[in-house]
Amino acid sequence: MKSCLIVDDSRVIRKVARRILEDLNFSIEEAGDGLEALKQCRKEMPDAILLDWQMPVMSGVDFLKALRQESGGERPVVVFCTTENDVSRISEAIKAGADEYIMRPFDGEILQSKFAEAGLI
Amino acid sequence: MLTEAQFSLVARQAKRRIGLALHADGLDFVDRRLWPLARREGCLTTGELVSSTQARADDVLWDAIVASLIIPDTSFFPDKSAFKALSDAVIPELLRARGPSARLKIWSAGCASGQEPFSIAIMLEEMKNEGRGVAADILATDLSSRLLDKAASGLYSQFEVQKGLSIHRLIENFERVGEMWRIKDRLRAAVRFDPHNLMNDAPLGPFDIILCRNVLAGFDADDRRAALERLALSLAEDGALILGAGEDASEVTQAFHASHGQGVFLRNAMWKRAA
Repeated sequence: MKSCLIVDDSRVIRKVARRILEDLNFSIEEAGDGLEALKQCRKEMPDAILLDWQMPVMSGVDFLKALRQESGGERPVVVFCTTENDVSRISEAIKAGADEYIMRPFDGEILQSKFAEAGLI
Repeated sequence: MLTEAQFSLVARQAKRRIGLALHADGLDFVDRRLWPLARREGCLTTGELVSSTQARADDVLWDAIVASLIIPDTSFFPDKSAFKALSDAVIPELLRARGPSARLKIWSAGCASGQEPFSIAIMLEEMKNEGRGVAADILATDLSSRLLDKAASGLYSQFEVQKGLSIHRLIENFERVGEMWRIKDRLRAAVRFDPHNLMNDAPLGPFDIILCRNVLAGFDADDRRAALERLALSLAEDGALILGAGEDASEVTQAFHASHGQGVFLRNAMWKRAA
């Protein structure tokens, strides 16, 4: 079973994503902001990270840049999941090390399609 | 709600016009599928839509009714293994046989809103960027003029461009237009869209590759065999037919044999002589 860390400051989004990903046979951890996510990754690197952009304390893109500097931090497959949908924002995320990118609103089919594109399923 | 008699009427028209064999218990399904069209036509019920179409013997509306019974395939790069077989086996083999400067003719039959033929155009461009350039003409057809209009516009919602496209393929091949995404002009220009009915229109071709995925699944066995044999006549002798992953052409006709894995079929050289 692969592990996925869901990083989002919205409990509702975390819950929706958790339900979809558990159906796809992922074990789920959650974090409410980038800093909390970084602490969890230092304990144990997940296989996948579903990552919001705008969060308090530490944003998704700042977390991603920090993660890729960590030992073993290049390994998790990072999928952004955000309302940011400008091409310039998408390019910024890819440059920071994102593997895939979901523009909200999303549904189970999109999440599954993007995880497949990222080679996670 | 439709009456049983109205449902039977729709079922007969669907079979005759597009080869679609409806299940006997499909009344609820037909009712759901017809509702958006009924509303667009200003009818208060689906029953009213069917009755008035029948009363006026309105051919155009009958075509729209039966077309709306088809659930279109709306994913880009649908069936990744078939696309891989095309780029890694089928196309290289055709080019070996025809010479590297050959221009391949590709037909996406039942293209719905265009995701399949545009995926082929993207795939061909990626092959070119890898130094495996191949010249090709892509024809995409469907019986639904509504879907063809949408396909030709090259415009897709944010939902649609997130099904089957990686983020790299999205930003490489599309541009944002307001809330929508439009496929870039060079790719849009690579595909020609035309109306065509696989059941009743004269065969086109010949083509080197035909994709007809999950289109014939709704046909009964006789119509499916006849349609597959018309496709065989539309295919070059060394051409390839791509069906949906679960579909088997060799089950109903001698015209094809399976090759290169699921969904890929080649023409049998013997078949034409026997026919």
